[in-house]
Amino acid sequence: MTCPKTLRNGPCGGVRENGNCEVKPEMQCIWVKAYERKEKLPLPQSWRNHYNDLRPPVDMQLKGTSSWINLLTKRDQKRPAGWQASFENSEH
Amino acid sequence: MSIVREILENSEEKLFTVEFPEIDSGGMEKIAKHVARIAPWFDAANSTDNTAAHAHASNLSVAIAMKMHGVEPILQIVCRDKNRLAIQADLMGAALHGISNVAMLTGDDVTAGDEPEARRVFDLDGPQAVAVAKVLTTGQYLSGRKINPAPDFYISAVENPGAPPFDYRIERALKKHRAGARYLQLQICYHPDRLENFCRGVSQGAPGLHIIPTVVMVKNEKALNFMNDKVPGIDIPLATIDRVKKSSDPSEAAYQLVLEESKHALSLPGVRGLHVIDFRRDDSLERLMRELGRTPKF
Repeated sequence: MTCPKTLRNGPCGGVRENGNCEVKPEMQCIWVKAYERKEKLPLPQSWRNHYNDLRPPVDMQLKGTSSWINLLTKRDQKRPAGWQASFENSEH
Repeated sequence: MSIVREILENSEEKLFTVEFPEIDSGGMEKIAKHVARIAPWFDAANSTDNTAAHAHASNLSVAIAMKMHGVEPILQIVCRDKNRLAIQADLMGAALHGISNVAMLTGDDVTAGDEPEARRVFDLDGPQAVAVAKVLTTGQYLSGRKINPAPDFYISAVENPGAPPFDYRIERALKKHRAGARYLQLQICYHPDRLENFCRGVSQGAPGLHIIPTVVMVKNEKALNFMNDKVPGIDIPLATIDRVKKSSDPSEAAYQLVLEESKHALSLPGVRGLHVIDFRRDDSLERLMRELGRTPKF
């Protein structure tokens, strides 16, 4: 995750005219790069649509832990109760 | 009771909002002075949250002061300086004071301001902040802790139709709508074609999502150059800057530019009003309002 603003829901409004980052002018915005790639690659539409998913706030307790283990144990799918009630009813 | 909600949801009228100038000093007299200038012409005013990454009197304190002076506030809350606890505290503080219009945005980075050495927060991002405001309206904090009765927020978001990737900006607006935004105030956009594509796309994708484009009143090309160089996400075509710069009367040319932009923005699909940022602070604000067909409320 190289977004200097640690954004999880796509490019902010500060993207420069050349597609580069507001904070690091020499770097392409990582969300612009991801957008271009998902448009170009021969992916199923359902995969492409994931770009527009509303991703929940990051669980800062997981900082420094293994993302692979958190994926396998599904620890990384735990959401705050308020978020879950409003935005993930259908999945739970 | 929110006039903004009343106009957008229950009328055909256009909504006119204005950026309340940032407050550093001068106390309530300064607030009263700004109110006297804007109140006759606008339905509501934005109380900004450390705008352009510069510290000022806080968003909620200015919103409360505006309310005391009879102006309906739209409380901006930005993710740069506050974590999720502080953002929920701002929202609940607003509810305590009967402020229901809340505009949730990501915000410029700290490097855009005069204290670039500060720690940036961004514990939430713009869409998440919209969602958190929405969660509170369901009668609980993000944690699930109950709030009874639930606060009643009329939630808005901001989008920049002029920043790449252009096609994606429409999808991003729709995402903020799914998160809970009822209307959008737009970032200033000096590319009419981009603004038009954006408004068309949003009005097709989410007919119920009201769009309020922003125009900026400036005196000369210096301010345009400043925005072009310093404000993240703002690009101004050279021809637009030259039009003001090479005019025999740059101040009048800058006014004609904003009048043209306003008329164009108000003609676009999905657009339900206009947001004005006034850096001129002269009598041209009244002139613009009159030439757009507004009559003073008092």
